[in-house]
Amino acid sequence: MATMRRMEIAADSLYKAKLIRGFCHLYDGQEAVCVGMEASINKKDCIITAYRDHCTFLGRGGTLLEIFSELMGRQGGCSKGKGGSMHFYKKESGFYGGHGIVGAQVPLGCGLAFAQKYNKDENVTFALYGDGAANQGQLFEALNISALWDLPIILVCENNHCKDVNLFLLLDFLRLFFTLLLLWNRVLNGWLFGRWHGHC
Amino acid sequence: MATVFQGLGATAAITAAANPLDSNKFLLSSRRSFSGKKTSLVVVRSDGSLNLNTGSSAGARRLDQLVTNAVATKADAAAAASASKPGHELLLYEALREGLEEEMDRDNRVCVMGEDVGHYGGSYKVTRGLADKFGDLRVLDTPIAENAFTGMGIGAAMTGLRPIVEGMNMGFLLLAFNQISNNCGMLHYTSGGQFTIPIVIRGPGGVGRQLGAEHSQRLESYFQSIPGIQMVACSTPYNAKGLMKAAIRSENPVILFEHVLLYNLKERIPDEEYICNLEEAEMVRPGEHITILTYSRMRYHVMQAAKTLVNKGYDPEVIDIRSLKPFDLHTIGNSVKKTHRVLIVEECMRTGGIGASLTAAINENFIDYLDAPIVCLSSQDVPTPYAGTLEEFTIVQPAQIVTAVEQLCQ
Repeated sequence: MATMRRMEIAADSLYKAKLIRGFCHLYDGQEAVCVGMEASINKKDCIITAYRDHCTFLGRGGTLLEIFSELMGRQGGCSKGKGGSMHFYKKESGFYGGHGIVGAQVPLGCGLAFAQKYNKDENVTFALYGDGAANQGQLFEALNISALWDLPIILVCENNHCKDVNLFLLLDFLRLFFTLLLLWNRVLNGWLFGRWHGHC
Repeated sequence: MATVFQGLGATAAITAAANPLDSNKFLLSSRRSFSGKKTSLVVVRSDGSLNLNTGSSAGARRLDQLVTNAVATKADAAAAASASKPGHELLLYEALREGLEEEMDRDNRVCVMGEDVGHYGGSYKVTRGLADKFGDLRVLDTPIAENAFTGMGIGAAMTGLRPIVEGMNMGFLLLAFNQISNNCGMLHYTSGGQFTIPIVIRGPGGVGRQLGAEHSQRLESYFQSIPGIQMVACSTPYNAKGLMKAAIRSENPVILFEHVLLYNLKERIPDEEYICNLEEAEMVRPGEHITILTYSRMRYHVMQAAKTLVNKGYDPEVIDIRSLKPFDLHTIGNSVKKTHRVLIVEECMRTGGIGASLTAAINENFIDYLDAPIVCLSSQDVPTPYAGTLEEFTIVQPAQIVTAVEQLCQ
């Protein structure tokens, strides 16, 4: 986990120095999820996640050299520099990526689980997604088909609150404000006019 | 066991041992090995003969069909010319099913998923009886969730299964466009070659009989730009079975376009096992005056027009391009060099359709051989109307083809 943290901080510096281009989604703070998962599974179990995949890749047996090479677009990267930050894969360790479109990896995860059921493996698939992907229709489709066919899939939602934007905080604040206003109005009415029990 | 069929006529020099082919073999094999690159390589053979001797995937046997009596109506498509057993007659959807069943027998990893493919037997009966034979897991009935089950098929293909995803109508696959474009097409590349996606996505498309705008779509024009996929369109029972088998055996993602109105075509096909080359065009009727390029249902409109044209003294060469991506520029090029005039007849819309891309490709590669501008007859750029008479006006009719040929050949 310490390695993962330092790796992500280093990636952050490289990104700010414009040595990593495009997108760079960091996993610092969430390392415990993938490390905890790895502690209880083997390489035959499949993991698939979205674009916050650097640490998950490391946990599946990737090397730092492969990671940084890929992030900087070098041939020594795990996808030969052709994928970038959002496309880390390690087939032999059962790591299926690494996907850029929010939520699109979840049906793929159902496919991995379907193949495990088809081949009668005694393995499972972990399909990770975030609080943003929880809004996606395809997530609910995936839940539906997972239940329908009893797929050996574990869907893991990593809620890092990235989806939350200021608008919702503002709405929460407004809601709080108006509730307090209403309460104050009721208290005032009660004290001034004795109307403690509503309109009478 | 399979036998190699020899086509008639000029295709005699196709045996593997011929030396003039060797210098081209390297080129050809690199063209055939799709490892994430989808450049269309123009292979012009030094001896000028058709490129007939390349296999597509391991163990594939290629068949070349040169049909000489090619003026066919919808009812009787021309039969494969071969010197062996007469074969058996069946309808196009039965041919698809036969190909599918043979591949499922041959390889345990082949499975089908789609809406109503299992117990209902498929909305066009292509998978009828397969669920009883192979079980529910290999012929999987899915809920109406195209994005999810297409994604599931792609995920399964990543692990090594060979799924066939059926869209009940190709138009519904628009809901799975993200999966088809980003995952199906690009995963092989973005993973640096770690994954191949040996998936087949198939279904009926095209303009039917008053099915309405949303059920009459031609998705080949939308999918053609996706890097990493291959597209083929079948038009006869013979090539339907051959292309289905080849698509399943291919390591690349292949989209097989069928047509709603062609499922009941009857033809006699060989009893022996055969496959069709995925990247090859089919010479339907050799000729001298003009090259008419077409695919899917429009092939039959073209052949109907050809009857009229022959009566008027024209000699059109009709090629069913079959491979929509990549184009078989070798066969097409040889034809252009012979006739110097090109007419493209397609069912896609004029804007951004297969014909538009084909026009550009021919212009880029064979401009010196053209005596006239390429004419592309396509459907109107409108939603397909429900009313039958209006619907007819939006697609290309044989009379228009005749007129276009007459104008081009002046």
